[in-house]
Amino acid sequence: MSTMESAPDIRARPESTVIRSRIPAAFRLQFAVPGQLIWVPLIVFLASWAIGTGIGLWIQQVAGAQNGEAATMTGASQATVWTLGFLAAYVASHTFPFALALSYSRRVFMIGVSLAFAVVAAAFGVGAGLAAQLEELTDGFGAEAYTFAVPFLVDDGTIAFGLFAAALTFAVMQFGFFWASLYRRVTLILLWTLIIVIVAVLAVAAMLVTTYDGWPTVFRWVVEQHVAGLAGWLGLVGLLGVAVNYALIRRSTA
Amino acid sequence: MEAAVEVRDLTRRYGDTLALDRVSLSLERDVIHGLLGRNGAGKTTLMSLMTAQDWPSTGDVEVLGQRPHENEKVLPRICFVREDQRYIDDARAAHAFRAAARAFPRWDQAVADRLMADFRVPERTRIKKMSKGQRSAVGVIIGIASRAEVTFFDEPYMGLDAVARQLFYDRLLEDYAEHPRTIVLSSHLIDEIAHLVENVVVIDGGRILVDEPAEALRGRAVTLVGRAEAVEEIVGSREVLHREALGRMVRTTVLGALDDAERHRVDELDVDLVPVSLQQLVVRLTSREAGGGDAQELEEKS
Repeated sequence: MSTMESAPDIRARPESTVIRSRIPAAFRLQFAVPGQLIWVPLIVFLASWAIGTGIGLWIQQVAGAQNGEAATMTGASQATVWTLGFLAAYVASHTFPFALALSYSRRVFMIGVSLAFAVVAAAFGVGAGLAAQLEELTDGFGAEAYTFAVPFLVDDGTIAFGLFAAALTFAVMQFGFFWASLYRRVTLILLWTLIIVIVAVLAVAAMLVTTYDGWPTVFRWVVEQHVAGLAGWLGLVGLLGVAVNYALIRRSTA
Repeated sequence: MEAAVEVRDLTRRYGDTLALDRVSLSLERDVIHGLLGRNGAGKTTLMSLMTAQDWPSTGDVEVLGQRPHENEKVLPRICFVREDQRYIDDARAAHAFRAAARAFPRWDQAVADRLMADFRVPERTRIKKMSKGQRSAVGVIIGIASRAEVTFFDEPYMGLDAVARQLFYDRLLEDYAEHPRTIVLSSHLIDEIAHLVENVVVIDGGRILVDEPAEALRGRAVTLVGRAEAVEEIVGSREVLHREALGRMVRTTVLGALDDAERHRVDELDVDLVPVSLQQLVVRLTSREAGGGDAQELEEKS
């Protein structure tokens, strides 16, 4: 059976139970079906980039002289980030119950998941950084069509942008995992109550900022952080997500 | 007796529902245990708690001498195959077996390969597209090939046809004979697994009704068929589990074996003795009126 060839052969091991760290196994579990965290995000990355660039080229062609030297920027680079957020939710809804059947502790599973998310996020960061570099070098493929090399995000260079993209992706993946895990733990009514509470808190915060004319300060703070600083903050949010998600699945059942 | 699993005063509540009520149980190591009971009796809840997939409201669980919850020293030695086991989306059987091979230290790939052929599990079909029987077979293969020291099967036969079920029983016994380990088999098809199990645990309404060797249990009840007065004389003060009357003839199932004198009297009164199958016994025990007794009461009456 050819599909079995890469499975580890432990038949030669002694009968006594071999207790070893299963973190690498929990990590590899996330890639057991390569489509999930490898092929689908890669397809979305390439397709969204191609579509975004194609739209830019098309605008350049039809607008032509009217458009002048104006650059066309799309938000297509976000597509992969949100796709990975949904795929992380799949990990919580489908891979987690299977991981329990494989008798992983929630702790080992969460470490394996977070390492896998970190690797995927880092790969996206590298891809996004290289894509931004290519767009800058070619002046948006000769048509000022930019998907990744968006001003402000690449102001500190493509490496900083790649770090930002990786940190954002990791945080979004933890966010996707969080909602699916929460859905598994609580009733639908409680889930929506929580969503409404979060929206209400955000609305009150926005109202307070508006009341005290705080938006200029907020925007100034964001700009002062620069992209690398924002990457750091997002990294912290992602790490907080790991802790919250572990707390959430610790008593979650299959 | 060396216990593989020990639970003490285990209670599990889901809101207002009491799924398990102060259950205490000890499962002997390297024995096949049958966990029997009606739907909603608490079988899956008990197994989920024993495998650390759920947390008790109160009480303790020990597997292989240690608490299993979040314990990586014990968990790799446990395998729990659920009736409705979920798999990674788009996974094929090979993906699931490869993941299991990495998770279970004693996984035997040769056994998995052989069982995959035996159960005719398709290689190229995604698990979610498989028939219910094929999906069950994937779970059964993981359970057997894991060679976990404590393996739980929760209604593993769902969707398996009669041939596949027999294959499962045969392969499980073969592998168990070569590699003895503790197996807990929950099932509704009691007569089908009666020859497999060495110890019987009957659970009903979240409480343990019976926990004893299968051999001892088989002699615990008997059905008497004959004239009503004759049968009543033999029944005496025994607990009646079931009674059917047709005119003057009655068919009564009672708890408690007959001694030699009683057997002699049975012959004299022309009463027929019919052995009670494990399935009948479990049905009779679990269909007694509420408050009909727990394991301790059963011991006293027998």
